[in-house]
This record gives sequence, structure tokens and C-alpha cells, in this order.
Amino acid sequence: MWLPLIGIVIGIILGMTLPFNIPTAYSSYMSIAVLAALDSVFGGIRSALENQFEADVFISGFFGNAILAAVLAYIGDRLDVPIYLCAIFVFGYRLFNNFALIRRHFLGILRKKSYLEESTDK
Amino acid sequence: MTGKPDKTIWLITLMCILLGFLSVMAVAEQKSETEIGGVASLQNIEKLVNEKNSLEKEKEELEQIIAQHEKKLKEYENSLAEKNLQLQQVQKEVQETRLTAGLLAVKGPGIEIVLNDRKPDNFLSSNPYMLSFFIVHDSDMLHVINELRDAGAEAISVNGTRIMANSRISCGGPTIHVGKYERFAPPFVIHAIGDPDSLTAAFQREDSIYHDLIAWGLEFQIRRMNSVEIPRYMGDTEYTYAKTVQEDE
Repeated sequence: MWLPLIGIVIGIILGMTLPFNIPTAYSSYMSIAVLAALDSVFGGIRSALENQFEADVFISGFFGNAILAAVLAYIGDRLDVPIYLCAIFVFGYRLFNNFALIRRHFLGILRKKSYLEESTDK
Repeated sequence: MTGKPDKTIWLITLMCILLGFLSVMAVAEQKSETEIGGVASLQNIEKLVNEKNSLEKEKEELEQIIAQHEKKLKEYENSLAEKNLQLQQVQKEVQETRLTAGLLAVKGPGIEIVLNDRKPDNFLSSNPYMLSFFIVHDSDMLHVINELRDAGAEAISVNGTRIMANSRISCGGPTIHVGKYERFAPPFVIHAIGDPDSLTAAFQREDSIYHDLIAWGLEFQIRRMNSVEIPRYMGDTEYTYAKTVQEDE
């Protein structure tokens, strides 16, 4: 259960220690990559909780979404229209959606537990 | 589905590592970015610089064409004047008129004035509503130029643009319109030809704009110059409404 959190910490440490530098011109691509990863994590957790998790869907979803978003950002950069905002919008929307489902799932578990406790008390 | 959860949690963990890594990269990158406004991408800046360079080149070429034509015109004038003594007199008058109008580049002793906004400091950032006191306005520049004229300046230029009798100096938002075509942002470099002593002395007077601007912390440098070169006016002088009055009519 705690593995994903440990993973984030490992990732942050890796990012701080590895000497990678990304040119400033690609800042919009970077923010989209972060959002795509965040979206994938939340989507993965949700589908795992619903017992519908499939590895191939998960991985292809991340790379497919990230590439499509990057292509949109590139086209937007060329046309001087911030199309990448549409990717940010969609990722953000899905993020909140997935979070709502995860929240409901855990709240449901809590409620069931409390019912059980109540029933055992009686 | 019972065997799967292990694999699931590992994949999600892997994605979390990627997420942490990417977010650190994004944050670290934003730190190194010191752009003001932030909308300008590198490609944009490059494009604008290229455009500026090509326009400057074009301007230079056009000015060369003007110089060529004027040289030809002068040759014609000279060849005619050689033949005729009366025309020589006329040519002299034309030349003098051109000098008065500002159509000839001039050189001579004078001064250089650098006007600039107040440097950003604590006082300025804690009083942002007083910003308009700390910047050079069109009225300040007009004042300075008028004082220079009062002190006997014979030719004046602002950032290399000759000030003519009909040159405007008006507000252009964060810039100042100078003359018919130009628009400048600070710092403003004003050149004037005249007696350096009387030109500098003009700003020592108690009612000079110099004391006002210095009091507000603006930059106002005056420098004596042994030789100042002031370019000629570049542009057209068309009169659409004004017609000359014929004396004998």
C-alpha cells in the first residue's frame, strides 16, 4: 500500500541527484509530462481498486497520452496558439474524476466498517 | 484476479517514481528561468531578434540609396553653379536653409545628457503607486530640450534622431514618441551642439528641471563633449494643408 509513496520519494531523490537539464524552451512539454504521469497514477489506482487493472492499458495509456499531448503542444508552439491547454484541461478533469472515485471507494469501506462496528455493538 | 495486485502495485510504484522524477525536473527548471512575464519562448525571442536585424539592414540599405541620390543631386548643383555666378549665390542660400531646417548632419562642441528612470530599489517597490514620479515622461524630455534651446543649443538629437522645428515629443505608454517615426524607451541620450559652458550652466539654475528629476531619484547625467555629431533629419517633409503665401498676389 505504501509502495507508491515510497516510489515518489525515490523519484524525487533520483531527480535531485541525476544531473539532467532540460532547456527552458521545453517548459510546457515538461508540465504536460508531469500531468500525464499524475493522470496515469490516479487512473491506475482507481482501476486497481475496481479490480479492472490491466498492465498493457496502463502503460500504453501513459505513453500514448503523453505523446499526443506533446504533439499538441508542439503544434500549438508552431501556430502560436496554446493548444497544450486542452491537454492540461483533459488531464486535470480526469484527475479530479479519478480522485472522486478513489475517495468514494475508501469512504464506502469506512462506512461499511462503521456499520459492522455498530451492528456488533448491538 | 487474485495474482494480479502485486504486479499492479509495482507498476503504479514505477509510475510514481517517474512522476516524482518529472516533477523535480519541472520545478528545478522553473527555478533557473528568470524571465519577466514568462510568455516569451526562446523561439519567439530568436524570431524577433532576426526580424530586428533584417529591418536594420534594410534601413541601412535604403539610407545608402538616399545618400547616393543626394550625391548625384549635389553634383548637378555644383556643375550648374560653376557656370553661373548667380546660381552660386542661390546654392549657398539653399545650403543655409537646409542647415536651418535640420537637413544636414552637423558637428561641433556640445553636451550629452543621459536621462533614465529611477533604478529599482526598496523605496520604489514599497511605493508602487508612486511609480509615475520615478519615470521619465514626455513632458520632462520637452522641458530638457526647451532648456537646451534656451541656453542656445543649435542642434539637438534624441537617441540619434534629429529634433526639428515640427518634431513631436509625446507619450507612448512606456515609451516616448520622438519625431514623426521614432519611439524610444529609456535610457534617452540627448545630444546638443552649442557652447558647452552655457549649456551645462542652464541646468544649474534653481528653476531647472534638473533639480526636480534628481530629487525624484531619476538618472540625469550631463557630460561636456568636445565634438558632438548630430545626424540629419531622415524622412519626408510633406505639406498637405499649408500653402505658401504669394506676396505679389
